[in-house]
Amino acid sequence: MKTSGEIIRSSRFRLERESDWLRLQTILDQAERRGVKSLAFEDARDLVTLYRQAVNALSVAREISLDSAIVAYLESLCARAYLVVYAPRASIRGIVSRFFRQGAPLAFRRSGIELVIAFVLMVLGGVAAFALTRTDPTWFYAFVPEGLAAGRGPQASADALRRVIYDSEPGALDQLGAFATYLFSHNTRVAIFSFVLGILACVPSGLLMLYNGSVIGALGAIYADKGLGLDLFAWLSIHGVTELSAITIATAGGFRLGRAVLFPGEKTRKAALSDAARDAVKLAVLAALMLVAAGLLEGFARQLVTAPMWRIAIGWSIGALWFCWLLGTGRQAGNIRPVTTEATS
Amino acid sequence: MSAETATIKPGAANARRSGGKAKAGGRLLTIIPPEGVPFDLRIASLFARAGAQIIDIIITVGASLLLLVAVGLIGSVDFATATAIASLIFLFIGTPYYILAELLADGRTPGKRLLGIRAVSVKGGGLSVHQIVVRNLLKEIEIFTPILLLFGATPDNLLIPLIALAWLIVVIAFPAFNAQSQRIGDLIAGTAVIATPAAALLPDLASAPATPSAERFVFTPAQMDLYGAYELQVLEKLLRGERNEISRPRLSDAAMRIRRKIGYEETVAPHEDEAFLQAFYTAQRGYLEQKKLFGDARADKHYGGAQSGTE
Repeated sequence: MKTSGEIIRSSRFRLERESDWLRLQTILDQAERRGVKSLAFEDARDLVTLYRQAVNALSVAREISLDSAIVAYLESLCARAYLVVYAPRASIRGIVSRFFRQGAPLAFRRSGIELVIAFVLMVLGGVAAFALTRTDPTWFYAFVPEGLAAGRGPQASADALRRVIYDSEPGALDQLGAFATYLFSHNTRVAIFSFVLGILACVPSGLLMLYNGSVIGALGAIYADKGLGLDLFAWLSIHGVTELSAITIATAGGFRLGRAVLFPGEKTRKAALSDAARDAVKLAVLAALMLVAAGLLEGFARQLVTAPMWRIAIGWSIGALWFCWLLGTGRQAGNIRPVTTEATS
Repeated sequence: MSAETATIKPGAANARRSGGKAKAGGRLLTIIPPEGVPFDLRIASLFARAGAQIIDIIITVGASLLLLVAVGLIGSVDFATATAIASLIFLFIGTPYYILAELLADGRTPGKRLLGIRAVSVKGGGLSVHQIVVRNLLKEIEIFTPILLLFGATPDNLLIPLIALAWLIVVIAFPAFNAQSQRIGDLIAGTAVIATPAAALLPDLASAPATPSAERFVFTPAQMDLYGAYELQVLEKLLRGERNEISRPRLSDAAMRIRRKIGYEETVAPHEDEAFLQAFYTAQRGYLEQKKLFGDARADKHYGGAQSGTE
């Protein structure tokens, strides 16, 4: 029979370990406030051991102790230590370099079918709109909204059309303004929406791609009519190669999500979606980077370079660089790592 | 929380357990770390999350404004260009700010840090880079894009702002109807926002220095068979509470009722009530813990059919 006077078992259990818990607590205080890097060598070395001991103590205390305060304390201590011990350990530089070396190119290559489909849809829209506008110029108004046309239409004179392409050089701040307005223009919105709406079984993204192609096709028909086809091609090339690739990539990301919803395979839709999201997110970040690059090209390079041949050369060589990067990097000599281990970034 | 240790016997103990959780206020997220010992984390309240979000927005908008002023100092710009540059700066500062802050400070943006909340992975294991990127990219789409669309509302084009408003309402209401208060981005990334755990190590009531009075109160096993773990922890809470004019009568009331129930025959002076409760707590806890160790866990006073008739 136990009476008062001697120390009961759970109190002895606590007395033996209390100092370790308090030590862990002070280490955690410091790690939470100033980061793990600020810890002294001994503290950093003992952190994980102390954490494991505390988790062990929590497990035992739940069994043998009826002191609710000690269980609550240990639970909170273990949770805090867990959050420090299992914190993401990646450095920013490591994440960025892994994204450029492996993440983006591999995600790009894994999404081959989606990229081809998105591209084909855009080309189809372009060809159809080109043919229709060629036969009947009023089709132009069906494809190109008023705000985007900005005076370019079937009635515009060749001179007016030429002026849009070879605009006089504006000042530096206007270029910045042009760059900024560009990013909020039509195309960025198309990229964002065709990525996000891909989740709705791919349909809205596909329509957006068709529509985006048709706008270019209709514009092309108007310019070709006035004998300015090459000039328009050069004008579009310098930023369009990058920009349309970015939109295609964003749409392919949306298609990945949509495919996971439509054909989840053996997994549940939620699991399939979260797997597809790994690549889709990389494609979205890649598309965002390319849109920024396209914005820089449109805001600055297009105003500075006016010779059509140079515009074509710059545009397509930058395009070639993108594709060299996306198709070339991240290949390994040995056996290919399974997709699942390629977890983060 | 209170009956965490008494899970062996289901029934009444479980009902009380869930009741205790509801009273503790807030949803719980149970995490199983790689070590295999589950523990509960308290989900952050929606108010704390909204507050953290507002602080972060103030920081990003403030930084954007500073940059905008710096751009404005370079040269005069017209209004349209200025708004375009402003929204551009906001876009460039927004999402990268959240991603970098959560990467560098383990799921805590400065706003979250101030309000004592943080993002964690729902499954055990650390918060991965992918999860951080997903939850913050989706925040852009979930919240900031509709807000920008709302600001761009003009009287002649109300359809898109109305859709944006409906979307915003859905997005903001979403966490309230969700077991772990996840917003859509959290759900897709597999993360949740929790209140940073902070519990102090309270003194052990049972190992209080043995005063002469501790020897004074002696209890028999029959007297200690009457209560279970739940009653013990109610007594613990009472003893841990602060002493003032309201709690003192409560203590003596509890002491009197315990004496009556267990049939304690010696008389106890009023000033000894606290010492009596202390001694009873220690003895009862030692007794129940020993019983539990031998496989006889008593969740509360109704632990066995035979004793249930005594009350």
